[in-house]
Amino acid sequence: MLFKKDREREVVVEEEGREIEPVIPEDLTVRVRFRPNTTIGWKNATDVEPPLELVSELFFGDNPKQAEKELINWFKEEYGGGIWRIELLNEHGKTVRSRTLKIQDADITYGVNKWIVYVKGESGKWYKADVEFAHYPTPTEVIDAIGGGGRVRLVGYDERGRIMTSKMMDLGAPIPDWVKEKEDSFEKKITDLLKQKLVEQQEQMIKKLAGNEKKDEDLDNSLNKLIKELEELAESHKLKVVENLVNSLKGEDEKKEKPSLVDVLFVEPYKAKLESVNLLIKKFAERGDIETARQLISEIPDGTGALVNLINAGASLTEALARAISGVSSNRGLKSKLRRAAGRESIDIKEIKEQKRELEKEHEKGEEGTKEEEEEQVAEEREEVGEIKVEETVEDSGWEIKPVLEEG
Amino acid sequence: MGVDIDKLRGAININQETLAKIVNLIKQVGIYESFKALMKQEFFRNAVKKKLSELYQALVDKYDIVAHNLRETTTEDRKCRLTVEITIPDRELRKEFVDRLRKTVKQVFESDFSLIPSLLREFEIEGVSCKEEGENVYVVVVGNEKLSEVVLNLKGGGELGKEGGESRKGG
Repeated sequence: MLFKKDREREVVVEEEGREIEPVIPEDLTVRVRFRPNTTIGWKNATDVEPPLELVSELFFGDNPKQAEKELINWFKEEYGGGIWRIELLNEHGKTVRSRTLKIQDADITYGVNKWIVYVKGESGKWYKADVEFAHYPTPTEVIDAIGGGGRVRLVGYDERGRIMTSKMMDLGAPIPDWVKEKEDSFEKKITDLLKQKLVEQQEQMIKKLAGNEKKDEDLDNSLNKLIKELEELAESHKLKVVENLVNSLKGEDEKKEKPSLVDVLFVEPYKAKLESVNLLIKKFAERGDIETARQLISEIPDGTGALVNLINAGASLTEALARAISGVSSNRGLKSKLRRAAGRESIDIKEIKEQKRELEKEHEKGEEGTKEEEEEQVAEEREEVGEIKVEETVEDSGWEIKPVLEEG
Repeated sequence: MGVDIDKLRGAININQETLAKIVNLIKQVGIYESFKALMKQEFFRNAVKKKLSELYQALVDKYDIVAHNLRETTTEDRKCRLTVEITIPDRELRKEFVDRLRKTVKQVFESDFSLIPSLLREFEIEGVSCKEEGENVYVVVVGNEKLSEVVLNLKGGGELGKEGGESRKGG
C-alpha cells in the first residue's frame, strides 16, 4: 500500500517569521520496499511508514546526508536491518526518485514470521531442533526450548518459506542431550579418539612451553615448520625487493616518478636515514652484485626494536586480560624472560651494525670517495614509534575509545 | 570451571633461542603475515584456539554470559566493523564487565609499548566502543580487512552444514 503525505504537514508552516514550503510535491506518493539481501527480490513494505519530514529532507532538502542517517536509525530501531528502498512514485505509479539504504549492523527482523533453531553437535553437524518461534527469541528462551546450549543458529523464514536471515549464537549451556544421543555413533567415536589425541599433544606442548626440558618431537617439528615458513616468506620478500630495485634501475630516467626502494620499504621518518643504504644497494645492484645487495637489504633496520616491543606488549596485554578476568597479580617472571629476549635482540642489532660497517669499509677500499656521511647516518639508525593519545567518551549506556596515533 | 591464568601465560614461554629466531623472522614479514603462517599449522592453530576457548570460558564463568555472537560488516568507507554481541542477564555483572573492558582497552592503548602503534597502523584500528542495550552488550571494533580476517580466523566459525538426523522429538 502506498501512503500519501499527511495533509496537515503540507500546510505552510510559520517559523520565526520564515515560510517553509512543503517539499514533496502533491502528486507524488511514497513507497517503501524491503529485501534482506540482494539474492531475494523486493517486497513492498506496506506497513512501514517512515517520518515524512525525513523523506522530504532526503529527496529535496539541503542536508540529505543527515536525513539519510536519521532514516537509517529510524529503520534500525523500528524494523531492524536489511536493504530498505524509499521510492517516490508519480500519479501513474512510476518511480520518479528512489534511495536505497543498506543497514548491515542491525539484525534483520522485518518480514520474518518464524524462527527455526539448529544446534551444532560436537562432530560439526547441525541438528534441527523441534522448536519454532514467532518472534526473535532471547538466548534464555532458546536454552529453555532446546534443553541446552552450545553453538546454535537461528534461521528466520518469511511467509513463503524463504530464508530471510540467519544468526549464530553461542549459548553458555551444555549441548542438549538429544543432540548428544544423535551423535553417539561410530563416526563420533572416531572423532573423539582424534580429539583425545590432539588434547594429549597440546598438553605435551604446554608442559614443554612451561619449562619442561624434555624433548618433544611434535613441538620441535611444528616450530621448525613455522620457522621454515617464515624464512620462505622473508626470502620471497627480499627477492621481490631486489627485483623491484633492478627494474627501477633499468628505467633510470623515470625513477623520480616511480617509488624508490626506500619509498616502498619505509614510512616517512625512516626515509632520510636510509637514503645512504639505498645508494649502496643501488651501486651493488648496478654492478650485478645481487648477493651483496641482498645482504645489505637484510641489514636494513626494519623494525627489530618494534618486534621486541611486540613481545613486551604481548605480555602486557596478557596481563591486562588476566587482570580483567580474575584480578590475579602480575607475573614478573614472564616479563623478565621477555626482556632478556629483548636484550638479545639489541645485541643482534649491534652485531648487524658492526658487520655492516665492516662490509662497507671493505667495499670502500675499492670504491674511492664513497659516502662517509651516509655511513654515519646509517649507524645512527634507531627505532622510532608513534605515540598514542586516547580520546575517550563515557556515557551511561556505554563508552567509546579512539586511539589517535601521532607519528614519532 | 576456572582457568589457570599463569598456565595460559606460560604457554608463550618458548625457549629463548627459538623465540629470538622467530621474532627476527616476524620483523621481516610483518605481524599479519606471520600470524597467517602460524595459523596455517594445525598444531599451533589448535593450541591458540584452545587457549582462546579457555579464556572465553573464564569470562562466561565470571560474568554469567548466556550467549555471544560475532558479526562483521563493512562501513561506508570500506572499513571492517566487528560487532560482538554478549548477553549478560545480571545487571551488576554486566556493568562490571562494561567497566572493566573499558579500563582494559584504555590500559592497552595507553601502555608504553611501542608495539601498540605498530598494531594500530597495520590493522588501521579506528576505535573500540561498547554499548549496553537491555541484557546485551555490544562491543564494536573498527579496523581494516586484515583485522577482520585475523578475528574471523581465530573464531573459526562453521557454515550451516547439513542437517543431521531428524528433528528433536518433544519440546
